[in-house]
Amino acid sequence: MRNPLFRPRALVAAGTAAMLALGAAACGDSGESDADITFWHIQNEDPMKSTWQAMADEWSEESGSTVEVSAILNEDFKARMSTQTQAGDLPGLYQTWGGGVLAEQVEAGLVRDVSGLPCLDKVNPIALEAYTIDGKLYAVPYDQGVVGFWYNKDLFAQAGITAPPATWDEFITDVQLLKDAGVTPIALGGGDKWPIHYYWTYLVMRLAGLDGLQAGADAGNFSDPAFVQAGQLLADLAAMEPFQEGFESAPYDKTDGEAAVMGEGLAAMELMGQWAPQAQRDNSGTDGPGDALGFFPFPAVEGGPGTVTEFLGGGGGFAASAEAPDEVEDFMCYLLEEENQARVVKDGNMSTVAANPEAVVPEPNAEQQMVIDAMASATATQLYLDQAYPPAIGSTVNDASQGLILGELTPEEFVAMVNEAWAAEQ
Amino acid sequence: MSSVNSKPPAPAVRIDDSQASSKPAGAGGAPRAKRRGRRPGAATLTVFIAPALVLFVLFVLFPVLFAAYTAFFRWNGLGGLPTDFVGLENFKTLIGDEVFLGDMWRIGLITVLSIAVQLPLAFGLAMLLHQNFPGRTAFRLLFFVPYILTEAVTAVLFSLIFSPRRGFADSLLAGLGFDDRIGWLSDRGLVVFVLFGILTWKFFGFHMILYLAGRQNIPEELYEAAKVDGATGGQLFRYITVPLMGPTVRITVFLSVIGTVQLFDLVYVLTKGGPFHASETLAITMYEQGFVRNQIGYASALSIAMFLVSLVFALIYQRYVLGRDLQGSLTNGGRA
Amino acid sequence: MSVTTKRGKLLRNTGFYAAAFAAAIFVATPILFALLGGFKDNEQLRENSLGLPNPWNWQHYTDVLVDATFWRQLGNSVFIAVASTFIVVAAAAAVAYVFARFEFRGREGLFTLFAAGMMFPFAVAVLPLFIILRTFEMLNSPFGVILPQAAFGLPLTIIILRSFFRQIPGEVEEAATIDGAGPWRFFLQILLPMSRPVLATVSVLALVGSWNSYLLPLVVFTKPTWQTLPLGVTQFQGEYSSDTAKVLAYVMLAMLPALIFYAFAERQLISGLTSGGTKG
Repeated sequence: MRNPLFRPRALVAAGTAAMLALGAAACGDSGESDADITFWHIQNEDPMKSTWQAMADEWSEESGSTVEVSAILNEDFKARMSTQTQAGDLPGLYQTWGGGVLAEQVEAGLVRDVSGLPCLDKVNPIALEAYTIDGKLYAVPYDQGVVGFWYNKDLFAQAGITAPPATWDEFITDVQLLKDAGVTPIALGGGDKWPIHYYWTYLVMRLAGLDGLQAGADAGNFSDPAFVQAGQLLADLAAMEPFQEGFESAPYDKTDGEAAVMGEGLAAMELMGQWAPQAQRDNSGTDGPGDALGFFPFPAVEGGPGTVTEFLGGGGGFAASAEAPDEVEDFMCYLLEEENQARVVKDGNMSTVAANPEAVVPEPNAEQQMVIDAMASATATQLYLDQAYPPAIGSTVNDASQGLILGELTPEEFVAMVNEAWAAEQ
Repeated sequence: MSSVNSKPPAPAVRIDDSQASSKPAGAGGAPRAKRRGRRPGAATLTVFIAPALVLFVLFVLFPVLFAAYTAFFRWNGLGGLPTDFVGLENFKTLIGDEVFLGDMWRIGLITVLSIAVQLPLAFGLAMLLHQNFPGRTAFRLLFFVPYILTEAVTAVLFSLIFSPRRGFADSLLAGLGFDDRIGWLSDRGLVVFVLFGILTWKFFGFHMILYLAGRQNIPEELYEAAKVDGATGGQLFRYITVPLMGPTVRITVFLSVIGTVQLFDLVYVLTKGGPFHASETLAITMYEQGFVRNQIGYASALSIAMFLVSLVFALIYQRYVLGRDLQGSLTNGGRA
Repeated sequence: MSVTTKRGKLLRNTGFYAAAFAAAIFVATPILFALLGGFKDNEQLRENSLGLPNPWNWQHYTDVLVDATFWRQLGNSVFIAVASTFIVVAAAAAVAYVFARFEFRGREGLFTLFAAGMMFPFAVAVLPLFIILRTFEMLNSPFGVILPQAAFGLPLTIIILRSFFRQIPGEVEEAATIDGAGPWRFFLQILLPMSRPVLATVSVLALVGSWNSYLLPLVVFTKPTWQTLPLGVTQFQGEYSSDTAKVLAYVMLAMLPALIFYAFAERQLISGLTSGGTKG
């Protein structure tokens, strides 16, 4: 039975090598960061990726504190943040959208109160609302804007539409005109769900008014008839089949997604935030509609108290961990210096959060001007519901919006589903 | 059976006794006298068992038990340990959750499809590749390729193939003369079958390799002996190949079902379970609840459900399928 | 085989090839799409998705190949896969050996415990695992991925090894005992060598499992130092979302190392399978 052995030398060699390598690896890096501040952001594409890195390096040089920057893909960021949050261990400075998600972190005592930052006068107070919880500020913004219809003027003209619609009836008429002209009226990233929830939210804002929406959220109850009616209007819109082919599974920002469809001029409009023009270019690999791109606010709905100057909106900001060293406040202020705000707006094509926009963006481009005008006209804003509400509610709204436009849910079922989620959250 | 019973004595003894000792404990009472187990010293035992046990307890058992504990709480995962004990509330919610019920239905569907299509395909190809014909190594290499691709990579690849506008699948059909565009991933009725197609593409090679290994472990002497006795090809297959492939088939079916229950990476990157849950799996529902909605308690209840589904399946499987398998096996036939 | 005539052989081979080619087309088409797609530009991908690239565009492949990040991630993936595999196979072989060949109290209970581990979904363990790894300061260390991966790989490896070890005839062990071999020597010098095919099989399973692992590295490696290829693929896709052809090139290169490995390991695997086993 002494048959040739299983290459004992090879086996031993492999094992030894593995053990040595393991030992070396273990000595090399044994865990937590040695940097004073870890900084997580989601601008993982250049030029913005390098800009954040450069700012961190500059500040680091000036202050003597070290910063370790991680640029993380949006989806990956969310997955990582959930484990970090649940382990009670947040990065020193990190991306946030404010609202209910931030509120949960605050409630767990994980976030630093930055109400006392000395540099807040450089920021437009409206841009701080999303990060203010019970009167205290927990993050500083770098981008702020509104959601509205970005439309392709050439395609509208092709369908004989001369002016953007001001009311929902006109909007529906225009959708039909576009369809009749053989143009896909609306690009929609239905697979990602959140682009759909903008439609429902806006219809509720118009039909119930911001007060009505707020009352519903406070009570944790969306049973008011206006919520059902909003759902019905959205279902009616979906029944016209205004979306591009395959919208049911289309993402917002990957191959053949909503932004790419708009960028290639294959659909006439999309309901999206201030980042839309940039995303159209990035995801289509084209220059986008260019000068043909226009913007109009979500139309008014007959009989509802909401006005077209009430916007859905939001942006991005940075919150600091409760355990971060005090120097983090200095870093936050460094990012808010007007010169640095200007770099962010320029390199990231962001929408400015400056108290004094002229100082930061002396010559906004056409897209930025459209957002600035819309924000100037805004009488009130509502943060995206999937950020404003606790994650469980926000996701349910997204989910139900998708069910609604696919005809899987009735408007009544939509409301019942969200109410159930509210009830479970109590 | 006659041809098998009259096989030459030497291989018969060998097969008989390896079968007896390979029988899982409790499944059919292998005679004790056959066992050559010795009583080792406690020190030896410890040295052999300790590494695996420590790893397992620390990195598998403890985390899973902790998760199970949280299933009885309403907990968003933040701020220390859970405190809001809700008893079986999460499980009650589960039973009425349409998404969960849909997941169960899809598990059933994919399992049935796998056993009816994917595994037979793998088995057939394994038998084919066991034959000696030029080029078979190349085929064997090729068929295993999808299995070694990362699920995330596979999902990215197929999302491009089934993309609605630049998609390769539609172009291919157009090239063959079918101009209709198909909503591969956007049609709620179709998406689960497309997903099954991708799963088959990805995993049949794995099962095929296991079958091939199982087939190659059957001693050729058995076939030669049976052929001397005049057995036909069909008889060889029926009375030697099938029963002796039993253990391999059992383990592939088991792996296939467990894999289906825990399906995650591929589907998540490909469709996120959509549109509107049409391709959702238990693990995706769990991930969404736990890491997107921060409902860790409910997510843990889902994972317990996932475990129970696997466990119940394993028990039923062992009792019925395994039992029947053994009845028809060579060993029992030879003894009877 | 029973088919011996020339014509019979021809017919038989034709049948084999027809079936094998049908399956080969099914398998190869998506891969060819990725391979050729990487040589096209986006214009060609849209207009000429079926044909050969024209002209052939090497840019995407060379871009990825000169990217230091790609090579680092590749090295990390390889190292982590090899280390995980070595640990899981060594630990599992030892325990499977005592499960298969020794009688002792609590054996079946212990085995059932390990086997039940197969039914534990990995995703649910991620959070508690994260806390444990943080306690041991294993975040951002390859150990943080290697050890949990090895641990979750144990159940399947043990099940397969145990059933194989059981099939090895008792005469072998008796002969070894007569030769004066203790459990250690029998295990290392006789059992393991005889188990080459099955060791190869479980090693391939463990390697593939580690190579594919996504969720665990995602939460453990927050710094780029140790990040692995699957993380790189999604990052790359995020960075070049409009550049489908470049993503295809990356996808192709990311699968290449696994293909090369398999091309070498396969011979070892199959020859082990045919010559090994109970024929010892």
